[in-house]
Amino acid sequence: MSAIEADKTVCEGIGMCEAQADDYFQVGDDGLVDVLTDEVPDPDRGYVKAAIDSCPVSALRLLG
Amino acid sequence: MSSPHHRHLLVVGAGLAGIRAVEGARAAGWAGPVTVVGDEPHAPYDRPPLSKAVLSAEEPPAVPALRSSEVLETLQVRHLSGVRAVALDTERRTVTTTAGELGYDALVVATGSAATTLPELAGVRGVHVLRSYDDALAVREALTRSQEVVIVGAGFIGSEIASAARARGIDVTLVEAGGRPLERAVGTGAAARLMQLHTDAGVRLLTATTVSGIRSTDLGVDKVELSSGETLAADAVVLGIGARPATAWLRDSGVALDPRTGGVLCDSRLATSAPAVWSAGDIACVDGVRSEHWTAAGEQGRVAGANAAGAAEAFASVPFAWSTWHGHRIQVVGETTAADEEDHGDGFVLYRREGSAVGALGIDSPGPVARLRRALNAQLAGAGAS
Repeated sequence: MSAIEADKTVCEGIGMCEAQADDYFQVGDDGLVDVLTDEVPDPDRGYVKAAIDSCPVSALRLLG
Repeated sequence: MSSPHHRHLLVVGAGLAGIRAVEGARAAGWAGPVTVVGDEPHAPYDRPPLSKAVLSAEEPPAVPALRSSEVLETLQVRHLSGVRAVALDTERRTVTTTAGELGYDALVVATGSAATTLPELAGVRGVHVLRSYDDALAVREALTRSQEVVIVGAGFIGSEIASAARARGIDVTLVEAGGRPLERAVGTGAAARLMQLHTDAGVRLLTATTVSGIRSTDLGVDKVELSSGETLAADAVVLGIGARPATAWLRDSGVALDPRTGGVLCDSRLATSAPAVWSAGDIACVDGVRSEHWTAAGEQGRVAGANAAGAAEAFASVPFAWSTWHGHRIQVVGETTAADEEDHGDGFVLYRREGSAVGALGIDSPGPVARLRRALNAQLAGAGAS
């Protein structure tokens, strides 16, 4: 199990995370990322990690 | 025949599409060695910050690394930096580079594009383009010691440079050959709103104007002559007038190129006309369409890499681009050129075709843009599944 950490002060609402993993990320009406489920079970880790790595402003981290 | 653990994947191009190709291939089970060849001296880096953060006076410049060294290590990829591909032999399955010949079992070409220049300005000191990190450092340096700057081209790159220059208090003249900034991409009405962002920020925007000549001294550029007859004083000139696919090295390879744009012709699975060769990113002309968007480059890279490793995925994505002008967030999603109806809200232009929303331009409207993008992605996924 890993955990998602989002830095809203860095997020620019570009939404690459949501485009790749919309069950974990959503850009809200304030234009910033909402983490829908912050715990990532191991089978989902790969594609959630890819979504996190694709953030162009590095606002997301996967812990553990 | 080499075993799967010895088969060599070669990726030419170390930008976003190239690195995503490696990730796509590994995710699809490629077990053999992987080499990425890039012609720049830096670790693989990301381009969007080059015209934004790297130009900002508020932060020291840094190479915006695409992946940490730990991630690259996990991918087990050999990165050859400062190495340029010069020829491809698809029969012998070799790529000739400035560092010798490299063989491959599967090849992904992702060499990106090169900034368009004006031949009459070639070699003039103080005239810049912005494509690579080193270009961005040169533009940054020019901005730190300029009072007056002329930027040619009011597209995304030119407009972002204009924003960075205004933030430093520089007098900026933005010269655009077309009627309004991004008019061909977003239509006349939306382009008028974008134009307003520049004029509100104190950028002098000259439309339907081109550069007719340049005067320089021993120190570099001095004055810019315009098609209107006006002459502008300038400490620096930056060209943001587009880019062309960097495919000259493929000319005699047998990989079919689009005669019009020089892009690499490929099908929806990003396979080229040559066996074991895939393409991705700016150079890829997918079923006749070439996209220069960051999001498309990443997704195409992933799909090309996966397919090189034996998958059979098709590339499909909702076009998306973003930019920041004078602190305003601009987002373009979906199709904005083939609409039959435009709905202009406050900071949000919705494009419809036959009654259905097909795209939008948002200015400081990330919520509505995100919702539409979600809907368009869901439609695309539905269409792909049916």
